[in-house]
Amino acid sequence: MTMTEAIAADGLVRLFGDVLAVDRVSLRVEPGEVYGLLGANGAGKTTTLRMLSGLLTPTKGSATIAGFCPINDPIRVKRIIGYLTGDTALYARLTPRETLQFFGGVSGSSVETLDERIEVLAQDLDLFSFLDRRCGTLSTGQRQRVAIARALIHDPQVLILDEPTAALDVVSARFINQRVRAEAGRGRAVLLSTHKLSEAELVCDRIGVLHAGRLIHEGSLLELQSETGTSTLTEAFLALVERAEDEP
Amino acid sequence: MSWRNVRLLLRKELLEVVRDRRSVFLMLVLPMLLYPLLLIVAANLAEYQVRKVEDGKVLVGVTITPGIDPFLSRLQESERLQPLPMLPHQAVDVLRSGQVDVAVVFSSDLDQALRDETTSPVQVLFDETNEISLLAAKRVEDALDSWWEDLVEKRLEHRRLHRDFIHPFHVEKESIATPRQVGGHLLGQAVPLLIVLMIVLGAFYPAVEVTAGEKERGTLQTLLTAPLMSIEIVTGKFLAVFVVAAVTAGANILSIVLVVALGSMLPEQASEILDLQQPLSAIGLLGLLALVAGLLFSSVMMTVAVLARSTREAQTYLTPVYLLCVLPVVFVQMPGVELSGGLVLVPVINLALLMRDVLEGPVSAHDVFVVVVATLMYTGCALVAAASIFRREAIMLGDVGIGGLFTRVHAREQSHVPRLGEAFALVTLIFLLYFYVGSMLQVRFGVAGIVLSQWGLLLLPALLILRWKGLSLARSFAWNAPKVRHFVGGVLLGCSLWYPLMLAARWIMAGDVAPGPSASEDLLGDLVSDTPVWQLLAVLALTPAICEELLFRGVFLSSLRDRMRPIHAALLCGFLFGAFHLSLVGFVPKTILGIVLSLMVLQCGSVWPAIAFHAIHNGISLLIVRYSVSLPGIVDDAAPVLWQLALACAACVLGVILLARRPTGDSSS
Repeated sequence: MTMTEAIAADGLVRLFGDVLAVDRVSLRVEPGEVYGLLGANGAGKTTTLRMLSGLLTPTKGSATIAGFCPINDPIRVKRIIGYLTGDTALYARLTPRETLQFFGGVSGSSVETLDERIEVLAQDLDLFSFLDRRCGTLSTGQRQRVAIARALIHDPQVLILDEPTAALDVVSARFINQRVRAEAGRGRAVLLSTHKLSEAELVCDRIGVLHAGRLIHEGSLLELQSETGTSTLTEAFLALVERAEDEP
Repeated sequence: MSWRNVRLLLRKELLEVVRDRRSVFLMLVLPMLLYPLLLIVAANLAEYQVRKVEDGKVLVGVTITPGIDPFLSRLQESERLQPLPMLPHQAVDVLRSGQVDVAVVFSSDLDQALRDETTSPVQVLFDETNEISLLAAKRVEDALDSWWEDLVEKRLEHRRLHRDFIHPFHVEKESIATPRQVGGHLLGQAVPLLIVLMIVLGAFYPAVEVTAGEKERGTLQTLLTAPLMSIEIVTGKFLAVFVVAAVTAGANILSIVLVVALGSMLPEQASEILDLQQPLSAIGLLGLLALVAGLLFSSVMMTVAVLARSTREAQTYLTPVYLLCVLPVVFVQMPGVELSGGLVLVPVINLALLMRDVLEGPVSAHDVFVVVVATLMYTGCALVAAASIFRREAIMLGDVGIGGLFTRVHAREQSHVPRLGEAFALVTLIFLLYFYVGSMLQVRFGVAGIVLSQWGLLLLPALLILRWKGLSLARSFAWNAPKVRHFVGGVLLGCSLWYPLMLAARWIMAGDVAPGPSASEDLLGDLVSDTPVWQLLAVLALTPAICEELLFRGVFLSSLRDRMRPIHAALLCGFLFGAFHLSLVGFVPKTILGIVLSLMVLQCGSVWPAIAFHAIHNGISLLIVRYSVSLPGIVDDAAPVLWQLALACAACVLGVILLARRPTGDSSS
């Protein structure tokens, strides 16, 4: 791994009982880069992200986040990453401000820093109108914006986003995608999973295609298209999946 | 572990509880409304029912035979008894069919017997399962007794005999229990059960909410992505459950006490024979025990609830736990069950027995100390188990409930020393082994028993578990060779620190709070005076020094050293060392000794200076007792001799200076 790599995974394998969820996945993400893990439901995207964030222990293989191992040094890694879970789960009886104060607080930020940071995030993610309303009363789009603010509250070097636009309408999804690009523009490494091909096409610098737990191909959109001889990401994705299924 | 994180998590959990109307209703509103209503309605209903039964007329079946007129006239005079004639063979049937409430069957020779001044049988038939029949039988017995008295009076008069003739002596029964004791005894039957019941009920709902509830709502995964150690999450959530349980139990108990107090449910005559007032010290102690019980139940319930995938599943898991917490308290109400022997360390039972004893009268401070220490250790074990469950991915993230306990845990980086939880569980196991098996060995085999219990129960389990877990013995026991100056420093401190420590112990023993020595301390006293000196030093100085140091400053301290600041590790290790000995008198000196020894090992990176210190410290203390060395300030109340104290302090300072220099190039320290 070079010093510039924010995320590095080498041969990650994860078994759940006898089920092989992730099979020898290796990838690299650099600062300022948005890397999209593309795959159908059950392809192993969430499991890969969980292993990288220290929530799951790999059966085999290793990973580093900014040079630190998520398994042996989970607290340090969790301070470096901002992780967005796939279900926008927030504490319904807390307000977005209290949610951000709590997650920022446990990440080690002081009260003064937190207040400033909440102001910045509220500005960036347009949270002011509902910052002091309970999360349980917010719409799905508003909740997702709070969830992203939660992932960003401690100013992490690395963002790991599990299906950040799933269940969002087009307007909300576009807003979130713009924010993802903006965060990459600030030098953060972003690793996101999605099964929305149009979104990956729009947001990601590089794309890794996961199928049945295996990373069957990775590269930029143009590289994928030229590799498969197709003109869109959808066609390229389908071609790669078919090719993988035909392999013994 | 960061207490700031624990505080933030506790605040978050409590904020959620306070904003949940259902929780607030269950915690505060329901007890304040429900119990007053229930108790008032129940009391009034009971009073109405009793009055209705007592004022009502009962039907008395009577076999008509010559000579019963005085009895019949007595029944007719009473407004609450109505005689109904019947035949002798009908008695059982009319009673069973409910035509009468009680049946009185006279013998046909009654009249003859009365005339001959002999005796005749009278049968009173009643239904023991029927309250009205029991009451009717009582009234009939009263009427028969009154007639019997008249007959006896007449017979005595006829024979010109004094009434004392049939009363050779009379019995006067008098209870020596004061009204306060009677009241305490009654309270002791009910209050422990009430307290345990309320705390368990209070902990039930929050234990489910903060664990399975979070899983169900999907927020637990979000929490797990935050940079929080599992022990921080467990401690924050546990404290939240405890606070809610304590508030709920407090509101429930306060509500009941207020209803009883305001409802004037105690009749005036009753207050002469029982006094439900308790002294403030008893109420304070009861409060302390209730808090300790709250810690135990909150930790156990949370640990079980965290295994569940949903709130419904958690409720299923917690139902048997609820029974396990409450049923032992019922056992305490059985006659002859005392807080002694093995029961002292049995969870829940020891607390309930102590609560009962507090209400019945003064209790020994030693018992309070032992029960509190044991309960806190069980609480610690439950939290350790919860933290271990929080590290199990299958339970926390997967769709696996209690079955996740049996799944393989994916290995993280191989640790060379035990985890904090493993070390604490090991010390608790040894604590129980030492109490139950060790004390038996020591009483039965004396000196050999002490050796067996020290090597076999303190050190052997630690050794076996370290080997089984594949951990490094050298690192876990910290038995690498020390620097000479560190060893000399340890020896110097061992030679000198006993003096100020003994002064401290003397000062504590002179106070009012410390009780006399316990049974084991008496046994120790006998051994000191009867055993040869070399054996004494080998068994009571060197052996404990090696075994206790390897367990506490080795295994336990090694589990703390990389996880918290050295001073916190030393305080925790010292406190556990002090508590382990289960001696109230020895608690403060042993805790101080434990802290000093822990700091020494943390500083030197080796357990040997601590072993030398401990052995010399014990040896000098034993020799002073053995030879009754006259030391002013220690063996009597005189002021200590200044030069002796100064010499001891100078040696202490020199020892500290030698120990203060860290070994160069020792990464472990």
